[in-house]
Amino acid sequence: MRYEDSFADNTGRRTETGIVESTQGQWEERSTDMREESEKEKARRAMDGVRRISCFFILIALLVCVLNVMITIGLRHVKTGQYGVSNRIMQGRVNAQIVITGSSRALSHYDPRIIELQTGRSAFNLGRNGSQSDMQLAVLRAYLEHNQKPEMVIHNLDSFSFEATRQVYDPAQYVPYLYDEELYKPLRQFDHNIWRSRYLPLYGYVVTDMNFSWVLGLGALTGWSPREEYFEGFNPRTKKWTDEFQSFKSANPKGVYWPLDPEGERSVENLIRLCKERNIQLIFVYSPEYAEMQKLTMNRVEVFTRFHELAKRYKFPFWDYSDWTYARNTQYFQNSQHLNAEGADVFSKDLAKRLNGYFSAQSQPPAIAQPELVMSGAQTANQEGRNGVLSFADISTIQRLISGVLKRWAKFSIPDGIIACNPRPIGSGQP
Amino acid sequence: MLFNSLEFAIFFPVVVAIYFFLPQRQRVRWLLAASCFFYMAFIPVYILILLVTILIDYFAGMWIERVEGRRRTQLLWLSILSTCTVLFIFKYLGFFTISFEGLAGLFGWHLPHTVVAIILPIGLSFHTFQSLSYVVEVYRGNQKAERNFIVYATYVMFFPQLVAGPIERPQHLLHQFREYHEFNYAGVISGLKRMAWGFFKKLVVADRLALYVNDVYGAPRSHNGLQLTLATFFFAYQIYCDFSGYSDIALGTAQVLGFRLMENFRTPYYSLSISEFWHRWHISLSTWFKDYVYLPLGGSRVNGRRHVINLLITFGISGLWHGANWTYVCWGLLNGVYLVAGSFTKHWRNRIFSAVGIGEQTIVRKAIMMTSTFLLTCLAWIVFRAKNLGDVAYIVTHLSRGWNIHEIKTTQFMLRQLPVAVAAIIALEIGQLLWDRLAISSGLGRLSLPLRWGAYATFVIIVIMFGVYQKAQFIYFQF
Repeated sequence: MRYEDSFADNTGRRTETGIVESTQGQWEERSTDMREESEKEKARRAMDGVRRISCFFILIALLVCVLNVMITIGLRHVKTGQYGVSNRIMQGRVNAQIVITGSSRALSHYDPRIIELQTGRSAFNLGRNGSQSDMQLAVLRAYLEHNQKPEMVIHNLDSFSFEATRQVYDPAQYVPYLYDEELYKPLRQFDHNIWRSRYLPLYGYVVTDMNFSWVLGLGALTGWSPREEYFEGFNPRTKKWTDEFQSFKSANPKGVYWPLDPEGERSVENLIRLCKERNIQLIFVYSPEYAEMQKLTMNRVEVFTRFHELAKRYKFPFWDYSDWTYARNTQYFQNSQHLNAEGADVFSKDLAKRLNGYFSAQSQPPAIAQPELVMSGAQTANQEGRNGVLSFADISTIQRLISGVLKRWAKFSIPDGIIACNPRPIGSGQP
Repeated sequence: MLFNSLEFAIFFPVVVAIYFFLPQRQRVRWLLAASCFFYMAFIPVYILILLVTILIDYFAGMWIERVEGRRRTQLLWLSILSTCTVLFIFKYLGFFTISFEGLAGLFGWHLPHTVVAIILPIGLSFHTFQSLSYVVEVYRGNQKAERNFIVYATYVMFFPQLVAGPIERPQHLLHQFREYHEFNYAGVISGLKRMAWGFFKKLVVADRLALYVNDVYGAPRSHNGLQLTLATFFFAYQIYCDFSGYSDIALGTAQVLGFRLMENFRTPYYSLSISEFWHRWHISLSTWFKDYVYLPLGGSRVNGRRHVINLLITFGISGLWHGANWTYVCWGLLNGVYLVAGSFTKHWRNRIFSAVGIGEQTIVRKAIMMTSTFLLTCLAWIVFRAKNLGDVAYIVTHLSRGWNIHEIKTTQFMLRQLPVAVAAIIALEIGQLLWDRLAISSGLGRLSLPLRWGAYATFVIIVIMFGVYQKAQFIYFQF
């Protein structure tokens, strides 16, 4: 049907020529009206489409926000693993007397259960994988913010202790706690984009995290927690000696140089000052490092001179385990930097003994025993052997302590007067 | 700017919203401005290189149209040479310098070592080829020279396909910049769906598999046969999802704005022969080489020997186009050899199939052909992905050695990522089946709004949650 016809049908009037009887003005007016109406209809449909699309994206945004909240709540309720440790710290449920700080070397070298058992003082490991001194300081600050002040901080040193953080390692581990200023402030210094993880929903869980932590968070809401691999913050390495060191050696035949960044040095000093200000005893420990690796560190003397200087200037002990009895024995190492579970067990016992000696010496009048500030591991072992110092003065204290530990770990109830062994082999690396 | 970046998530809605509010005259200018901004997000100064290419071919097009005869041909060659010189300097100078030094060394001439280190402008090969197609089409009389500089510049720089194609032809795209594109709800939705599917391919499949592939191909000698085999299989999917994902996002982006770009992929791994594979893989480039290299060389309408040479030349250049490295040249030539061998053995293959009683249209025969095509393609991908020919030799000879199921993971690719990666590949295949064969898109459209939105929202959330966001560039950006 032609347009004219349809128009005529509607009006019901036609001329002889078949043209609709209407003035030119009426015709134009009518067609303009129709065009306008059609334009309006198009605009209405377009706006309707825009509204629908906007609604859909708002729905997605809402879902993303809800998921973000669920994951955060879930991760804050995880009881095991790295998040379990962080939750205990951030919820102020640690309150240990001895706190160990440091990098992955601290994390995998110091078994707080052994230290606790031998010294009678509760201990907790704050070590973080891939962290530098500045990040370690941030974790310690967050710990002090939420927990009671410890009696002592054992700060584990590395050859790269004076290196500043260039990139935060595994930032996802901090995401559920980014509203904590003690953590957020330093993280913002290292990573200018960390605000995205704080303010953009899911960003921290899906963009910066490669480990599907969000699955853990959602699982935790249903009460599921992964197998425990952290014991009072200590994460033993179960692997035996790998060929990582050989690859490292062939990749760096001339050795490695660890930079002494001013920011890194400042962070170490700030950690010392923090302990001094809060009246917390501080001990620097250079935990065992595979002997061959020591030769490969080109500026080792320079780094260790700085450690000694700091210890002397601020008057606190520096225990260097570079010449540890087993430093050449690969049976105790996973790689050049990290002891395996067996090595950590032996080292933790060595350290606990030495701590006992240290605490005993402190409890005696100063004229009788003035602990040497800087001693090597071998020196201390000899000294302890000569003195035969043991801190187990009171058998009932030990019993109380072991009973407490076992109650916490294995929910065992121990009848008074019986000293039981921990059913889990301590330091074996097996949960 | 990367499609898979937060910046693009802000950039795109802003560009679309303003685009539809502007009058037609302003829209092309707006697209050009947006495209410049998009390109300058990489290395801002490199836009000048693009400008040089645009200026050369803009004026060349007008001059070629104006003159006739020999002069017309001379102008065409001048334009091609000028455009290719830019490409040569930025992409191939270092490669040819090193190759020349090596060649001279073979003859006992020890030339001083020259280091040519120029950062390759992103997508240079793509927009160079798009510019070249314009001048050739003007020369052939298939396209009128574009007199409006803004329109021509937008044709070369149109941001959805600026850095990795599809390599458009002027007859298909140029006129669309003169058309008025109304806001079409159905078109926008269709474009957004296409983008979502592209993001799934890129973020969920390609970038997850890349973690494994990069580890293994980064140090092939530190990995066992199982890892090498798995990495090769993963790379086949990675490169497909990376590039076809980019194409999907590009097509979807353009569709939201009302533009139609050419299809670049048609499920290439379902091909029954290498020849069919090249009709389904990177279609815009394959047809470019067919139209501007293979056919002008004589194509298949020459004697057998010349046909073989034409195929090898075309695929050799195609390999070189992909990158300034001998591995790419060998990859191109290998594909040429596949095609030649395919055409020579076709008769024998048919006879063998007939002898064992496998008919032409049977599923068994299709399955055998599809699998063998896929395996041959995977073998070629080893040459494409390896850092050098030494690594190629090592990988090929060690694929079946020292398989150890307990050492399947790599440094970056934890074991927990393996089920996600495998599930992503399965989801991709199912998705392609549903999308292409069962037309799920139209099926979803018939569902009630809550169900439809539920399905779309679930898909988007899956992409968000299982995606990998490591600011990974699309592989084809480097070409």
